[in-house]
Amino acid sequence: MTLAPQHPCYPRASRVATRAWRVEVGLTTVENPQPGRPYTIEFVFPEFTAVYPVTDEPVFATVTIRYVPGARCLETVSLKQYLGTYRNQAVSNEAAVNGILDDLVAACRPSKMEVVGEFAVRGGIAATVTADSAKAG
Amino acid sequence: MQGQAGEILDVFENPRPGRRYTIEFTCREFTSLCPLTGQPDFATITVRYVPGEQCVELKSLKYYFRSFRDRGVFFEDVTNRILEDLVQVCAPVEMTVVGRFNVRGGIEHEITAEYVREGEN
Repeated sequence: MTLAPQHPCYPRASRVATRAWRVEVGLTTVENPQPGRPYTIEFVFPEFTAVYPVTDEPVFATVTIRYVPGARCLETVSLKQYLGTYRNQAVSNEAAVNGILDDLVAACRPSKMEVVGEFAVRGGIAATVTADSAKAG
Repeated sequence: MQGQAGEILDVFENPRPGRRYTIEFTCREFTSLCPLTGQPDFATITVRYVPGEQCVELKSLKYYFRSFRDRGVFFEDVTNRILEDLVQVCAPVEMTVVGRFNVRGGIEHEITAEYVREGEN
């Protein structure tokens, strides 16, 4: 039994779709009801999946988004749809977590935000990637 | 055999066909699409079986599970289809497939489908 990468049942990464396509999904924000108070919002998304570009194998992760909102808060339905757009993207764990941070910061302009991706074991290795808007770069 | 399952699933000879022993696979990374909304669904699939002459080959099983990734299927259909395809390919003495689907609309789904070979009751 050899399942070639071109087999119809083999997951194919859409290499054409890029970040520009994801942005089209549209991240909706809502007004922060307490803009003067620095409080924290945390979302946990245990159903994150993408395609690892080196092997074309699917990867799975729990993505945690923790932020202190500015004038706007992230709206959860659009956030779910946005995270779902990675499903058929060929993207490294590192690029996914950093891309999420960049897109969410651009959408809601938080005081600070941290995105953590805890990826399921592959090759005996569990990878956790953390990106923080407070760190330069 | 349903669709392309026969091209994906592979078997090997049971090393102890005379002994009634149990094999259990758990796939925590099963995902398919909701046929109504197109939204992704996630499940833990457990396959427990007593092999007959053949055992299911693990890597082919991984690819088989993955073949659902872009397919719109109901939870009930998925669980029963997995049972039917695996029974067809390895002709076990008995087999149980349990699909535990993540919460949707506040409701957890657990589907169990069972097969027992004739004369084994």
